[in-house]
Amino acid sequence: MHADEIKKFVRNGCWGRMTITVVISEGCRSLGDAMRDLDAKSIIRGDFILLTGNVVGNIQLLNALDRHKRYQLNDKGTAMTLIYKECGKKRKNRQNDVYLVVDAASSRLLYYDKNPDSRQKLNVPLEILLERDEVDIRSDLLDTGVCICSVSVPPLFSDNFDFQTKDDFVRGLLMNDEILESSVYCHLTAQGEYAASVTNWNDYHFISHDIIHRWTYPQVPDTCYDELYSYRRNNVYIQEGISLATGCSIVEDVVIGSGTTVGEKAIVSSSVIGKNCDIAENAIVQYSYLFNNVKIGSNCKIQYCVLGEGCIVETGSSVIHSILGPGVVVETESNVCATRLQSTPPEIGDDKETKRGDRAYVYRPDDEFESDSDSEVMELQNRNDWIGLVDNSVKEEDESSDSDGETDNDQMSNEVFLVFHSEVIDSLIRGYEDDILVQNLVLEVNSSRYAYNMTLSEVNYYVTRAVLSLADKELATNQNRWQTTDKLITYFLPLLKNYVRNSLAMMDCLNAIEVRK
Amino acid sequence: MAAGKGSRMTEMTAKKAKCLLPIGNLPMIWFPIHLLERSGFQEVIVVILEPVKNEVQAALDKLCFKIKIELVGIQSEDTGTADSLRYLQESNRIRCDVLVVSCDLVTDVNLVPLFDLYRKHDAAYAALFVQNKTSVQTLATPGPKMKDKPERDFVGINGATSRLVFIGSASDYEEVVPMSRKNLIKRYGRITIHSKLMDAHLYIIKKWLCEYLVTKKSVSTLKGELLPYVVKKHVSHGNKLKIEQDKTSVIGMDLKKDITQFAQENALTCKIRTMSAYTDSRCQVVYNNDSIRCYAHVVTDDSYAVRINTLQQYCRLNREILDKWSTLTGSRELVRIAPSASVKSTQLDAETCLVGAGCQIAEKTSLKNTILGPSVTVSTKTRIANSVVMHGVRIGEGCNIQNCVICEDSIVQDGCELKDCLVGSQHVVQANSMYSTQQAENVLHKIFICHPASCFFEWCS
Repeated sequence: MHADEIKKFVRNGCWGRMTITVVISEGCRSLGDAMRDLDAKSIIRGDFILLTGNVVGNIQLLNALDRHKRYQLNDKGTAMTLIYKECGKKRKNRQNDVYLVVDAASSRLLYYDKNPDSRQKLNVPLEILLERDEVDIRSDLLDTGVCICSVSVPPLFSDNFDFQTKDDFVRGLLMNDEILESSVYCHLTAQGEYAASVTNWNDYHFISHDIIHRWTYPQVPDTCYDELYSYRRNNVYIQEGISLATGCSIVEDVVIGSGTTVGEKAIVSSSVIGKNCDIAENAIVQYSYLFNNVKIGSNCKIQYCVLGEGCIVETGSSVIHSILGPGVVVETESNVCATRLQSTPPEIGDDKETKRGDRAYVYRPDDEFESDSDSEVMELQNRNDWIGLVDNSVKEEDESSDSDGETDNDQMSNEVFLVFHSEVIDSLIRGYEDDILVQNLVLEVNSSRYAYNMTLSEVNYYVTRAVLSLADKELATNQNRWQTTDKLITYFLPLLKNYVRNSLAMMDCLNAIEVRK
Repeated sequence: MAAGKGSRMTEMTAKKAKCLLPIGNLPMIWFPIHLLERSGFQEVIVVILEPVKNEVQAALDKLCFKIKIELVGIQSEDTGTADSLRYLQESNRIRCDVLVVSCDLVTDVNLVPLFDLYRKHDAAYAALFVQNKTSVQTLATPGPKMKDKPERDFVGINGATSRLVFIGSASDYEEVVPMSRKNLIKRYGRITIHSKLMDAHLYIIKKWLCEYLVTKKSVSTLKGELLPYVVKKHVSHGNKLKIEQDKTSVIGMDLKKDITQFAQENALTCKIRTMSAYTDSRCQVVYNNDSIRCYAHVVTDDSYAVRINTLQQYCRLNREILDKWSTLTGSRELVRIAPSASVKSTQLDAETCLVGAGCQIAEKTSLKNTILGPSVTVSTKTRIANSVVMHGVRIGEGCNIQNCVICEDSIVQDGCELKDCLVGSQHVVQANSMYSTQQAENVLHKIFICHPASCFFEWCS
């Protein structure tokens, strides 16, 4: 699809002595497919560096390559050296979390885990720990998206049809390291080296700021060979031919392309502004990315946004935490918050539902129609990330969001409790009416307990409640409350005795009685 | 050592003679006490079993330490280390932080870095781990073949802060070792799990931890129960400083005192910490706001450390002690052959042998790599190599003893050949008998019918 564009870009660029060959694979949907295609065309004849088009960085590949060679000397089966960067404990994006178990002496990768759910435990196989003296468990690494591969990698992909991504590959090799006789090593970038790959808007934001903060030097705006930016105080990069009105403030961390005008008293900070943009007076643009030809009306407020090419935000609107596709027009005095907009109506779905303006429609990812709940959750998470990405205070909330998640679970499990409760009542009624041995009822309750995964105290609580609620039902036939309850209690006494055994259980029991009143 | 810090050592010996076993010509207990004396301690509490108190007292008196030693006897054999500590706390013998060391530690490790670590971070406890280089080689051990399967511990240390964040025994896990992502791995970023470190059983413990022990009667050992519990607590969530603690009181709330309550730091300390620019890890609040902190010091240099908890270790140390004498004992003078001994042998390798006081070694004997306790009698035409012979043993004529341990007051009659054997105390080896581990094991077991009080039973079991 984009092959021609890429070819054109490669042809027009000036790449020194490097020759670039563009290989076009038809119908290739993943890294695995691409590698299999490369293997079939047998283009690769030596060690190679594998990276995706979204990598930004300045790592010294030669050092990494030397490392890889050294690993190969010691271990014939070295298939891949993954390059990681230390990123500290600050989490950037939960999706990118990776847990590695690395042999401290040889830096061989032993275990690889990419489960984003931090509530689950990491299960490190015992033998990994026993076989080595020292093993590092790390979660402070960031995948740079760069790795060095041996010749054996494309054939390995061909041999294993189920390898789709690099993750699949690494996991597969580690799981079957004896069969495939291949090993994976890790290399950490040296201090001062930077590499990261853009996989989502969150990364986009962080990496843009890292570039502005010159971590990627020499890949910074003012060293671009064809478009000159001048680098000013407070990390402001400005191209020629822009006009800044009096009283406007370009605070810090800003990149502005040529032909852009910034109006009076407008405030721009921590943002990247494309070419030929127009920011009218009194507008505020913060933490945002404006592509070329974007027009911001006066008194607008743009925060944490990405505005595609040719977007227009009319006077007095505020757009926060949103992503606008190319050509979207936000009408006057409107409020856009935490949404994604596109300029054309979606092909499927109700127009009225999604329409926000003549050229603004809520964007829905395609797969949403297939599996509603999943993608909704995904989007929610993404949005959370997007919101939480700069604001530290929000980030803190993010920290505690696990407990929030539990309250969600509470609602879920409330239903479970109800079902469990009614099941217990059913068993008790049947038992009482048919005069079943109470010991058998205990078995029945226990089986429901395990079916609904109840804790012991919950069981105590609900059993007591069930016995008491049985009394209510019996009351319809027998008027004397005391007698019925007494009869029931004497009948169910072994059951209660079975559950209510210690002081904690007594508390549960008392709680249940209290709720009954 | 700062003078103000009176610390002490609790000596945990449950076994009668274990702490008095000779290593070279010194009882085992000399080594840890010497270590403490060298490190600048002024007071030591030695916890021993009541029945052997006098024996130990006599032995200690002979060794003339400058350090003040208090002996505390305990009654029951199965008193755990934590129980002993609790006993000391209850009887008000612990007045400040304690250093706990086990009597079987023989080392020349410099303890100062450990103290520094402990004091710098105001830790709940700090433990000493030693990289075990020596255990690789295996020696032929006297006695029946035991499976020498050393216990493996997993020790997780956060390298940047040297905090101890994970501790577990390999035998506690089946196939996988579960670790909490959020509380452990995420929080510390990088954890190095060591599986071959030797726990030196040397801990510095905060006083409040001893107070906590008093309330928690179920904990009986330090290593097995208390320390893993503290480590667990220290990485768990509840460890955040509770500033608004008793804001809400719920009826029926757990009235048991939580460990974190013991760990409360006073307001001034907290304030200093928040105002200080110091932090132990980048991009983080200092100490993660943890009030319980555990640290581990890993000794990586070439210092020597052995725990004499197996027979194998005991034999190895006895063989190496002469080489290591100067580093292990400081400037203590080594009298290789006691003046009161009568040595008539010409084949005694003076470089590798130790001969105790009152020994009688007849002519035409050959001794190599051997340590003889006091009052040992060796008759003519006997060869002894690589062995430890304890107090009062009599060895008859024409014996050949290799790689053996012969306990006190035993008699080896004429013409015996012993190889890789362990002879219990007061046992008589019949004349002309030949034993080695290669022989049927039941024969060997007969040899080991030792005196009931013999420590080796403990080892063999």
